[in-house]
Amino acid sequence: MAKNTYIDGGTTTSETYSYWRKVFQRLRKHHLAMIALVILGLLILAVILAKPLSFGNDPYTYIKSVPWIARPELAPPGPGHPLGLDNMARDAWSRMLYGGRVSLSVGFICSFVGASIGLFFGLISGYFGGIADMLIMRFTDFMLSIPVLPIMVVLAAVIRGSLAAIIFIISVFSWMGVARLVRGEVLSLKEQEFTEAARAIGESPARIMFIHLLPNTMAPVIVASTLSIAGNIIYEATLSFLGLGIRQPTPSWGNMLNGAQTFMLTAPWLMWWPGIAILITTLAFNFLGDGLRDALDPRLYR
Amino acid sequence: MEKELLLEIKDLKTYFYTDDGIVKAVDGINLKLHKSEVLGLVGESGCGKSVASLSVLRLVDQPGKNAGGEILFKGEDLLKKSEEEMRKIRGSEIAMIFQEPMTALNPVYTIGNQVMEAILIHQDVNEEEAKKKTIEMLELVGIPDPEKRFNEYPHEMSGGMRQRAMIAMAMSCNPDLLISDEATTALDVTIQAQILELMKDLQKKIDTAILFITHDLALVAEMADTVAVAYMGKIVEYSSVKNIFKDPRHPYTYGLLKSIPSLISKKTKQPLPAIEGMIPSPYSMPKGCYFHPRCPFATDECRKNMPELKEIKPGHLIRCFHPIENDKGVSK
Amino acid sequence: MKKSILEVKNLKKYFPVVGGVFSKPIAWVKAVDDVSFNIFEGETFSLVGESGSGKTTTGKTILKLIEPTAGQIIAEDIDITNYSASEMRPLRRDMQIIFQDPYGSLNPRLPVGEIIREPLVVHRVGNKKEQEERVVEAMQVVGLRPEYLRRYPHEFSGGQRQRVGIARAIVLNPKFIVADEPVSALDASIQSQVLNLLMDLQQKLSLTYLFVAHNLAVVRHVSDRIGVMYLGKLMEIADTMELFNNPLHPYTQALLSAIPIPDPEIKKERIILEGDIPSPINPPSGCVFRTRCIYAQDICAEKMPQLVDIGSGHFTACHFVKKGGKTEFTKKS
Repeated sequence: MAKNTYIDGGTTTSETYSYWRKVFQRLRKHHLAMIALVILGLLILAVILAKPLSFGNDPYTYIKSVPWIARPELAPPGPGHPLGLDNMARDAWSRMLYGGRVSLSVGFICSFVGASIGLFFGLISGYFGGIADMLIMRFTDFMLSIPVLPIMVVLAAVIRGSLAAIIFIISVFSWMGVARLVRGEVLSLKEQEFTEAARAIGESPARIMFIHLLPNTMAPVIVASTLSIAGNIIYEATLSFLGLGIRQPTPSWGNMLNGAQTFMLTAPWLMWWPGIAILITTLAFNFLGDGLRDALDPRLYR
Repeated sequence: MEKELLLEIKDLKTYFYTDDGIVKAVDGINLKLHKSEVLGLVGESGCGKSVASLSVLRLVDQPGKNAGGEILFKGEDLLKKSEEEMRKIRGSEIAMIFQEPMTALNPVYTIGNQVMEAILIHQDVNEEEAKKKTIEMLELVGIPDPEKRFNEYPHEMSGGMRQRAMIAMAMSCNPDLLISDEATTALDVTIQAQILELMKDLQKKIDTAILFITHDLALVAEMADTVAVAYMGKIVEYSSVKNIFKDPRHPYTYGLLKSIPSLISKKTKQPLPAIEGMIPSPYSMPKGCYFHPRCPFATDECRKNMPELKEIKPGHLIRCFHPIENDKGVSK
Repeated sequence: MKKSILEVKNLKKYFPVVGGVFSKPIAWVKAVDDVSFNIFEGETFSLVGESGSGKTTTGKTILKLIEPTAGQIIAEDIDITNYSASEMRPLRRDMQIIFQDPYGSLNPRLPVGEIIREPLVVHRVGNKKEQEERVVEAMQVVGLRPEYLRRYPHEFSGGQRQRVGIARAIVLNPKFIVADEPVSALDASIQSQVLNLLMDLQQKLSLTYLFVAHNLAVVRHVSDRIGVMYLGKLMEIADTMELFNNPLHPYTQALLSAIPIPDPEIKKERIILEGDIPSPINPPSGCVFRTRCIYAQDICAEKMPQLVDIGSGHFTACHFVKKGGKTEFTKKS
């Protein structure tokens, strides 16, 4: 008998659609998240195109003179310098753009590194259980019970300055949430029959973890990481504001705030813009994270 | 001997308005249930049997909505009642038992308290009387040691005992109508036999009508007087239990009965006469008769038009252009 | 003489119940307790029983998805009881499993083509192109359109997903498949399709099945021999027709009489068992069925009856069933 009878029905579309496309369709209905996505897109575009958007200014150059005021230091906004000049007569607008580069990359890189560490620990802990699980989880508890900011301040004071150091310090404290999350997910995924099916085929633990478990934990990890970008940007800003983060002359939104606070009364505009930038960015990441959480919710799926 | 009509569902429609489109879960169902009669409503998943029962109690959640029809209970339309009036009816005149008693029972109260609560809400009794009545009910449904069990929490009981407690709660106010939605599906077969026996017994004692919803045709054969077979939100065949099993006329009913592995036949390990294909997606229903893509007798007429539910002999209604004649097989 | 493809001897699986601060076992769930049987080449051997009977645990322990506590599992003359995961790997080509849950048994993030290809990748069968050809072939055999290769599990209905699970199990051409409640999550009309497919595959690929199920009508239809389990123990083993026509163990008798029959005119006298299935943490002494058995006597509380051959391959574990199938039941006073 020729076996050409197929079982049809069940599906609605003629073409296949992937999980992520469906997620994006759902995300599109979340207005706040979409606005956040547009804002973040513009921000990222702006910091990538920092050079052409700087009107020929350079964030490190001291401007000798401006036509509308006698002293270039702390000059108010004027033609060619939309945000004025800072206390060392550098163009504030171009420092905003280049500072955004630093702040956003710290946010992204720390979240990525933190998520990777968290994924690694969470997978091992959840899959193997037993002593490995006990040790990793107690270490996680320990890390979570440390008051983060004082320790960061101390660490930053010891290893001063470079961008890599700041990223390291923030990352060290931003993996615990993901580790716990992933462990929980893995514990429930492990009970599902597809993991058992993988073992029945003869798959190795490593393959089970990377092919079957890891992709299924991505949804909550993405949500947590998106939300943690906002937190990391604030950590960077805080450290830099305290003078322990990114060091002059490299600009970041945090150290721009630090530099501007002394002149709060004479040149208040220098403080507004980095402050507003931090506010908008963190809000946008939070809204995007919320939207992703709804769009990725597995209960809405199947 | 026509008994008094208790529940009449006329052209009931319950639609779900989802992001992906409208799902016509219940799409114009007509049912009649007489006093102290058992009506079996059978069908596979997606046929709308559970939604229909929830619609009767007006318990369909968002995004589900009533989209027309009437539900006449003792001559009054339940769809026109206020929420307040419905609350009085639920649990006292119409009671319901579910598939999973664990989710229907509140885990933080004892079994006794929950049964008692139902009695206190709907009957004019004081606590002492209610407690006495509760223990009586627990005993009636065959829970051993009812005084002791009164203080047990749902998780301390087995599935069968929980279902008994649910039945005690449902029957405590002598309802006129009991809706049983897959009440024995989650139970083991020896426990299922106990619960079915209990339901039959109580039905005789309390004289309640039962709307018995299940996917299992064998259970319907045991319990029901009349049977309605549902497919994709519509009733396709409606008749006495004897007619449905001995003289099924709709190709779907016929196919379903044929596809059940027999307990008598001498020939095992033979291919079963299965119904081809699978149920369509509720978002893209076929034109014409919903069953035509799977029906071996489908013609152009079936592909174009939806047949009406018509009486082909007294008390036997089917929704089909080409009813099966006696001895005409699906295999043909 | 039929060739035995799998032999299980005195298999036990106890799960610890942990409690206290140090997560020490405080009790044991005797999921499978001293179970022995053979499976012959080419047959369908079924394990039936209610929840908690240990039938699924037995099936999964045989495949070493669960580590046995004691006993022996002999697959084609090789004792695999103490095989490690890596020692088991080559054997898994011949021993596969079909799961109950068509939703949980497929990785939701992999397209079905990849899911079916996984066994070939793991066992390094052929190159990518050959693997894809075999996936297409397997999909055709189970009645799935090969065009659906790149679709994800959530785009399929329950019956189709179960076919994906079956395709994954047969793609390596195994000899032996454990089918763990393969149709119990499916609708009636889909159930018969999948049963037909399983029987068809058995013929075509000369498969041996261990079929685990609770639906007795289904089991009767597909099995050559049946083992009835209750609380981790085997109560009775017999050929299908023998078991249904001549059940000797009181539990089997009650179980068979509890099956609802799709015929309103048959009103059969039913043996309604009293009470619930006891907890496997603290099973009754002696015969585990005695608490619900209408024929139980004093001896039943003292001694667990052994599973003995009472003639022509019919095994029963009851004190009152004698050689030749004579029963000496007396009702409890």
